[in-house]
Amino acid sequence: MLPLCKIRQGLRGEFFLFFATAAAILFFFTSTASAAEPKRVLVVHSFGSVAPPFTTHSIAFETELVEKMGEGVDLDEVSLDMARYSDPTLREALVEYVQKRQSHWQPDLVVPIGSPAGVFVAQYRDRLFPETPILYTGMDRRRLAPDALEKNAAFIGENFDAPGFVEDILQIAPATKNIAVVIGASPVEQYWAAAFRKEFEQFTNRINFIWLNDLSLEQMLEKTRALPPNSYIFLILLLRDATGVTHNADEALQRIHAVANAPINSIFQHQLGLGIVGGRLYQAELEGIESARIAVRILHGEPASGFPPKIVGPLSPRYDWRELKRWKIDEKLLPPGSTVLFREPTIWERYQRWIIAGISVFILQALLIFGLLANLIKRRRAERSLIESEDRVALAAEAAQLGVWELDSATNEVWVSDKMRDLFQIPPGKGVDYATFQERVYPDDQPLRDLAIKRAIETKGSYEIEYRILLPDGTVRWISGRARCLGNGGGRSTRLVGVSMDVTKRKQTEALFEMETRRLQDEITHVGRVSMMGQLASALAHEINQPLGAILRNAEAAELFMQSETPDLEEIRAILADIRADDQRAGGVIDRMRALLKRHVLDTQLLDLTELVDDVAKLARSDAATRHVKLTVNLPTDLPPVRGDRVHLQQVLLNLILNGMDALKEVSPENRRVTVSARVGAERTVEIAVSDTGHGIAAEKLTHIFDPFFTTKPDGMGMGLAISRTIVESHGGRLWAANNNGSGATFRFTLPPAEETSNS
Amino acid sequence: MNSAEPVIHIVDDDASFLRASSRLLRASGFAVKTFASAADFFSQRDQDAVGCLVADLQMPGMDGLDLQAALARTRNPLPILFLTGHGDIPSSVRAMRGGAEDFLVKSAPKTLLLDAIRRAVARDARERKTRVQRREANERIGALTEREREVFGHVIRGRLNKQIADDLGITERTVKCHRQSITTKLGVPSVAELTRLALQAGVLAEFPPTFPKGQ
Repeated sequence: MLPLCKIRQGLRGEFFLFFATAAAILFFFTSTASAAEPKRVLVVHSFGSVAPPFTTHSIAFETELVEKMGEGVDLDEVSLDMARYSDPTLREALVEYVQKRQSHWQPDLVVPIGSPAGVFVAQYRDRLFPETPILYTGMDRRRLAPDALEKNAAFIGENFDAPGFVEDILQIAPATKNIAVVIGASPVEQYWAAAFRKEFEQFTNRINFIWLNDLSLEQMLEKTRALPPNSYIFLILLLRDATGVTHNADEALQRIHAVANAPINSIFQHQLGLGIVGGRLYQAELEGIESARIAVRILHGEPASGFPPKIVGPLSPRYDWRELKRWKIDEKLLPPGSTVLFREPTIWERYQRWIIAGISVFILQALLIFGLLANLIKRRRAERSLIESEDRVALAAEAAQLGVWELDSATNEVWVSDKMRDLFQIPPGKGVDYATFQERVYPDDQPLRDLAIKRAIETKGSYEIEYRILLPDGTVRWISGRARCLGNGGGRSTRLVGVSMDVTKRKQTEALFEMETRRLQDEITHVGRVSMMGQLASALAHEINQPLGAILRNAEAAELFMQSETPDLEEIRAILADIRADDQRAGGVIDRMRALLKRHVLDTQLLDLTELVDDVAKLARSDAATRHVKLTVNLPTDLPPVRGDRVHLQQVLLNLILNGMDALKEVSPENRRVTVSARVGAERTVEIAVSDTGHGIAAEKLTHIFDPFFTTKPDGMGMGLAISRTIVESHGGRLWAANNNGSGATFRFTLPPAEETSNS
Repeated sequence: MNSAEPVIHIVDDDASFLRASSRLLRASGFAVKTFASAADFFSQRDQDAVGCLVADLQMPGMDGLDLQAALARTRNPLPILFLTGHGDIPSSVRAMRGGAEDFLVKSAPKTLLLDAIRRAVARDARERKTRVQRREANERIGALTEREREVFGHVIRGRLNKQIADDLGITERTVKCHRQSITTKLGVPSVAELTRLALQAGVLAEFPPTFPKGQ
């Protein structure tokens, strides 16, 4: 079966746009009806599907045509395979076959590619395509009869300059005495062999042409393997050798190149790189593209005979650098305007980057050494100035509440700042040494500090410890001590520079927090509301971890800043100020927690409900976030004050909010909402509502939820709502629950306005 | 743009913690930008920034997980490292499922924090490279016509020209034309390379395996 190619697709939108806007091009379309049908193009191949240079041409032609016309073209092809079937009877069968096909598929344009196809079409034009326009392409003009172009036909092809090929060879190899001509024996090759032989006659006085056209490829390989000196090989075409074997010319070229003892030239540009040296070459691809463009215009209605025959000349000379090298051809011999391709980079070109990198590394190294020297000098100077500016450092450290000290390990001499004396309560003026300070350290902690200092001196490293000191008045303070060895260690002496900071307050806060946590645990046991207190504890842990985290980060940052040769004391002072503020903040959290957790009798006072609700919401918010509940507070601005116990009412509200969140476990995260709202009802009673979007409360349970020990939760104690109701009622209000119209339930409690409570 | 220095973006509503973290990271050699809220982050950040994001999980307004979801929808989804006052399992699971690099308590040791940040920055660089490759692959595949794309889908599934021609109701010759054009446009010669390109572009799933007709 012959291969067929059909591209039928629908009309595109832009086609209409094109039609509407470009009136000047209107004549291309004889009618909209014909525009809607794809144009049929029959490509007539000379040979099979792999026969360079013809296939180079036809692929370029088809690709370009489909690119230009898209869905507007329907391609079909017939392959004459003339290298194999040039027999006259077979030819007649082919004509009949092509004729019969047309009853199924009438082409709008016929494109023979290559001279065998061209000669065939021209010969049988009247029988096959009397009315169809023809575009002859990919062939030499001489191959067609002069009248072939007279009737509705266009031509785009080449006009091989046979003497030019020989001149190209002599240009680069002036000493050439023999040219071995490689060409096959198919009819088209026989034609060209004769044509070239005739054209080459003018050179026969100086060149001996060795014609290989009556040999098999194997024999040609044998010949080219052992050509006499000053020989050159010229490949015209190789489609079928004298023994009737069909070949791919490109592959044959490569095989010859592999064995030949002489340089090779050929006709076509695409063979540059496959083993030819080069010269003025013909480009089949370009010709294919050019003919596709003319095909488009013919299909759009322009008469084929309106195009003058076009000859595509050779390209400017181009050469394969590797072949020039191989055959030692001097580039000076190349004609002006030549291009040399496949040039291999020189050492400099190939290793340019490495060479530059190498030199750069060298320069960098030199710079680095210079920089290090400069740095060393600078550092020596800085060290001297550091000693000189002891006073300044002391002043700054004083302001930053840091005790600064320095120990010379060789002399055991100690220098301390005034603040250091303050911290350790050593009277001003009293001489100090290592022992003076060590004595102050709490006996249990003395070995720790001693070891840390010894190790730092030995390793010329640093340490960071926390220890207690026992002051003369019997108080115990916590000190955070950090120190580090200075100097390059050139001499025997090592100077250890350190700072000490009183962290008693932080330690107390931490201890207090631990204590409070423990107390919280006790409370939990006491009240027996595991879940509520658990949540509360985590909320508080979050609150207190903020300042503690900040303190930690600041301390770590300060440590890093201290490692600098010239510590930025401003920055360190700012850090210490922040640490102090966070310390106070943590203390504040603990105070609030304590206030909230202390169980005490009803302590009534005038309360701003907005503030109360906001406080509770703040506590519940982190829990809401971790459970993915959207907690909304929606209060009117004019809530009257009420009289009540702040902590107890907070507990009620927190309990209701946490219950609401518990009810949302089964609900998908995007629908988890708890809303706290309030309104002023009859007699200025304030009603606070906590509603959730859960599944509501089962009717049979609704009456029991306020009973002590009634619970629907696996980990609940069943006390929360009972206690809450008691608290609300002790304030003169009511607490009740109801299911919402939509989803979930709402708990409401009322509180009488402040005036009435105070009156009663 | 991709060779820019990585910037650590910190989002935290706690001003003091924000300041302290910024100091520590600067002192550790990172470039740092701080934001007081998720909203600030989205309005003030450099859209093309390279690096990572360190975000507080619990913040009023848009919280850390919302921030993560919103950032994931942008064209520059920086890796996120979450910090929290205290961790709870559901949030951490959700954060990690959402692609968070790590989930640390605020009082975590410095080394843990810095290691996680380095990992996040490295991951950002890696993912950035993948995104570029993906975009390029997509652009190349985008240049195909609808028909070529269809043929492409069949080719990467290993279908033979003959089968493709039969499936699409066109001739084998036409399929060859399309393949020629596809290889030229995509600049890759082999089926394996084409498949790798589709994989890179993340469009492999668009081309479900096809089965011969009439079986």
